[in-house]
Amino acid sequence: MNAQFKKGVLELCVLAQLANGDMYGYELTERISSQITVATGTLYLLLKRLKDDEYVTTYLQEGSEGPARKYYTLTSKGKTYYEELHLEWIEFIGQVKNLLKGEERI
Amino acid sequence: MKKEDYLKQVEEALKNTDAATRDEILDDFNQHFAAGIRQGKSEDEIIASLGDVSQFDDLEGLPKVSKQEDKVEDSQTKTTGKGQRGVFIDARHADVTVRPSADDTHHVRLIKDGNFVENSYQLERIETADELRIKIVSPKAFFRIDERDLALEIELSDACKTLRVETASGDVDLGELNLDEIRVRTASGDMELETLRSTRVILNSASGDYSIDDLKGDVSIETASGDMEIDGHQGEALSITSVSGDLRYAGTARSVKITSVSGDGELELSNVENVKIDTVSGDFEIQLPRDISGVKLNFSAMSGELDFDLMDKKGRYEGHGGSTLIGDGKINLTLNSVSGDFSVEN
Repeated sequence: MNAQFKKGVLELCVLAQLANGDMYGYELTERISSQITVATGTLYLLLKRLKDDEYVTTYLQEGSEGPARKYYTLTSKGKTYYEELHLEWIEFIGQVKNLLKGEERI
Repeated sequence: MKKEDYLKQVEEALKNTDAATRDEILDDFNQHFAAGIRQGKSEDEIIASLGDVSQFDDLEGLPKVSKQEDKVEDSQTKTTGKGQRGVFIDARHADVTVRPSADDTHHVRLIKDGNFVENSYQLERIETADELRIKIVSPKAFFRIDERDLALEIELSDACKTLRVETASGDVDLGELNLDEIRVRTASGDMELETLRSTRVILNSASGDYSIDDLKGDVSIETASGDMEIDGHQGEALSITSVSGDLRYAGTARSVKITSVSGDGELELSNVENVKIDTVSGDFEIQLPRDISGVKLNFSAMSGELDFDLMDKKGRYEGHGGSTLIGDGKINLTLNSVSGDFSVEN
């Protein structure tokens, strides 16, 4: 996939995953990389930035296997940001579709 | 490659980032390896999926360590921003004062009782090309200064177009600014806004009061119990949502929308075209200019009353409601209450 497309949309994808429920790092990166080829290391940098922007916070939770894991969760600011971003994305896709349709005109 | 070597590469890639961020990210990577290994993946497989460190181009937006050359200007309590468009301040309990800057950079100072704060509260600064974010962070020192004695003094260059300030109990004082958007949010902090020009002004407080003088722009205020004094407002729109906060307003807004539970209001509207007030028990007095051509009054209430004296036509509605057309009905007033009373005159 085109690198430019990917870059813009990773934030939306990460927020969308967390909108469905809290996740720990490995879980989140596996989900995303199952659909998009991405250097999952960059996702941790993205998560750190989202945390600094207060869209996301983290907490530790004891697991049944192994040590406590760090879980990521959306803040209410993050939920609002996700919704706005999602809307913008849908608008954007609509606009691009219109432009692509234009090719069929004579 | 072994996990240790990969993590060393990550550490190297983050060498210009502040230590806390670097440690947190390294911790994330460690946890990632642990989770992957538990799932039966090999270190090589995990490294392959994490990707080449040279691809970590998302380093913008992460807090940077100030380089040696910057140390002259930047310290924990004083900082400058390179004239970004957007400035976001998180001041917690400190009071905030914002004025224009004399040069083309933004200046920020953290002050206690007139002295700079040493070795205690610090400014955390996150800077990108477009945005300067300042946050006051807790001291690492054992001896803490009462946060409420702190003040943040900010000077903005005219490159700034968007200002956002958030405090808990800190008061906010903005003066002589010319921006596109101003947003201020406090819990109990009061706001004083003087001589401001901004396309949009959005204010939010729980109990903080508002004193606004000489403001040009559209204003939107949400408050629970903060009282509002607005003088010399010029703009298209005024929108107020209040629970019990009272409002005194004098200005030229063309469209006025007020929602209040019990907050009262005294409005001097010198250029209005459209007013909508919805209240439960708040009482409102509206003063329109002497020379108007007409008013359309739409009134509805349970037990509230409307008294009007407009263009030498007097009248009163008690309970229920009705509609009255005076003159050419150019100014539209829609007044709804449960028990609140209205008085309208010119």
